[in-house]
Order: sequence, then C-alpha cells, then structure tokens
Amino acid sequence: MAGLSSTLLTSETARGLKRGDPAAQAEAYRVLAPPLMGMAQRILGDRGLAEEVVQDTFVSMIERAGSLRSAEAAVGWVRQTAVNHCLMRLRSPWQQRRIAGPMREAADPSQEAPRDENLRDLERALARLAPETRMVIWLHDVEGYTHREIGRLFGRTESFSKSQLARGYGKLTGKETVTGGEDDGFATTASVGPACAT
Amino acid sequence: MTDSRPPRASDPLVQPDGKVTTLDARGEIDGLRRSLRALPDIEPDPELWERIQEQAAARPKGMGQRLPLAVAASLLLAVTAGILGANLLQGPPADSAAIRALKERSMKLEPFTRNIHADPVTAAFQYRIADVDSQLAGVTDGRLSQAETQRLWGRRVALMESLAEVRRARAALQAAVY
Repeated sequence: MAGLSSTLLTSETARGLKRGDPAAQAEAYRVLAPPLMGMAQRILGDRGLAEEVVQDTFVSMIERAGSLRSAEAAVGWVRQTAVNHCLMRLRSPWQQRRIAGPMREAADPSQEAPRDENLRDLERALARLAPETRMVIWLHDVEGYTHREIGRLFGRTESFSKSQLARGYGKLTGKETVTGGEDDGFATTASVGPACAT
Repeated sequence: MTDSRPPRASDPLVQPDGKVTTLDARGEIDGLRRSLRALPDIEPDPELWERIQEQAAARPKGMGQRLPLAVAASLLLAVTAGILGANLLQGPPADSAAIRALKERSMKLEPFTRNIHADPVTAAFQYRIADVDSQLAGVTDGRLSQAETQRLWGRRVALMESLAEVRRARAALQAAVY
C-alpha cells in the first residue's frame, strides 16, 4: 500500500536507529524503502532518480539518526528528508530533462506495475501530470500533508497547493472545470469528460 | 417542504459561487484518492542497500558522529542560561542576530543562484544546498541547537556564494570569448 504516513517502525528498531545499530538500520530500510521508493518514483516519474532519493535519504539517516529527538520521530524524519530530496530534484535544471519526460515503463510489470487495470490507468494518468502537480497530489492525498505545509515546502502560498490539487484532479478526471473549494481545494463542478478509471 | 429522500449521484448542488456540483463528480475524486492510496509500494534495486552502506561508510566522519557532542554542548549551554525548560516547552528559540544576518544574506544571494546553466558543477552545489535545507528542517521542531542552526545557515550562505561565483566567472568568460 502506498504512503509512508501509515508505515511504522517498531520501537526497538527506532531505538536501534538512534544508537546506530546496523541491524536496526537494515530493518528500517526493509520497512521504509518500498513506500519511500513508491513516493519518489510517482513524484519524479523516473526510477533512477527515485533510487537516488532513497539512497540519499538512507545515507542521511545512517549519519544523523543519532540526533533525532525521539525514536518515534524516525519515520517522519525519513519522509521529510525524502520529500526534500524530491523537491531538490524537481528544482534542479540539471535533472529536469529526466523528470519532464514520460514515466518509464516498469522493467518487470509482474513485479512493479499494479495488477489492477484501474490502478495501471491511474499510474499512467499520474505520469502525464506536471511534476509539481504530482507532488502536491501525492503529499496531500497519500502522505496527508496540509495545504499550508505544502505551500511552505514550495515557498509558495496555501492557494498554490489548492490550485495544483484542483488542476491535477481536473486532468485526472478529464473535468477541466474542477475548481477550488474551502478545505481541500474542491468544489467539484458538473462537467462531463473521460474519467481515469477508478 | 423538505425533500427527505437520500441524495442521488446526479443531483445538482449549487455552490455559493453559482457553480454546480454533483455527488458523482465528488465521488469520482474520492475514488481517485482511494486508488492513489492503494497503489503498491515499489521495491528498489536489490543492491541498493549495499550501495547505501558503502556510501555511508565511505563518507568522512562528519556531523552524524559529531552531533551527540554538539547536542551535549548545546544542552549544557541551555542549562547554564536557564532556558532549557522554556526551550523544550516552547519549541525553537528566536533567531540570534547572527542567524538573522545569515538568513538575510542567503535571501540576497537567491536571485544569483537561480536559472543557472545546468551542468554537473552547478548541480553538485544545488544538491549540497538542498542537503543543508533538509538538515535545517530540524529547526522547525526544535531539534537543532542555535549553534548548529547558525553553522548550517553559514554553510548554506557559503555554498550559495560559491554558486554565484561560478555564475559570475562563466559570464565573464563568455564576455571575453564573444
């Protein structure tokens, strides 16, 4: 299941991370790397870049876990670090050529692509969105960030996040008239259009 | 007279701005959200963990090893100043004058570090700046001491000055050539 927000480390693993215990580091990687990879690949649309994000994040984790205020903060810290690394790559002109292109097909569909046809459609539709829009959608709806947090992350306003979210869903549903609403950016209007299968 | 039947998907709802909403459209977006959360995790390359361990081992003993000492030092400082309780209860303390000055310098340098011609050199600087930014994220939840915060802002400014210098040197070179 996608998302780090629902991923937990055992308290033993988290405490081991703080102590720099290699077994705990390996366990944290085993638990956190797949959702982290899912997040990074869906935001960046590139498997190589996503692996770089995972690598940089875990190298940082190994070096800095000892400075965490509490063991419970480990997952949140890892997620925030990975998000920062994703954002850094979105902003890097050097990387933009890799990110802007269409998401690469999974090398081994049986291993990576969702078996559900609807989810495969969703992956494809997501890959066609602008990278910033993908990131806003993922952070808001999968990772549970607020619009305020997303706006701050991008150095923009809360409205930026809401409009990106609305625009993204407008494209995903084929309803370009989706408009901003009060709490989550939607007062969904009644236009018709080809919907992404869900 | 109130219509007590349950709403149907196709029922129009008039928004305050006059736009019309239907429950089926709303439901479609809710369905997309559920589907996003249902997307499977992705396994990284089986050798990635090995590469991570190698990279971590190859890096110079840096902040990760020094930080416990830095934390201990800042704790001692905080106790001495009698502000430990307030710091823990109220989150990060206000910026010192030195940190404020570094932030201002950083803001002034921002325009010189954007829209730079992309190449491995500038990308390396941008990675390092972003790495510092990810460490500075610890300021917001009070994980970093003032001393560590100041050190990171200082590092950020130094990197940005270097990046700006690269840009200036390139511009000078281009002017000389053309």
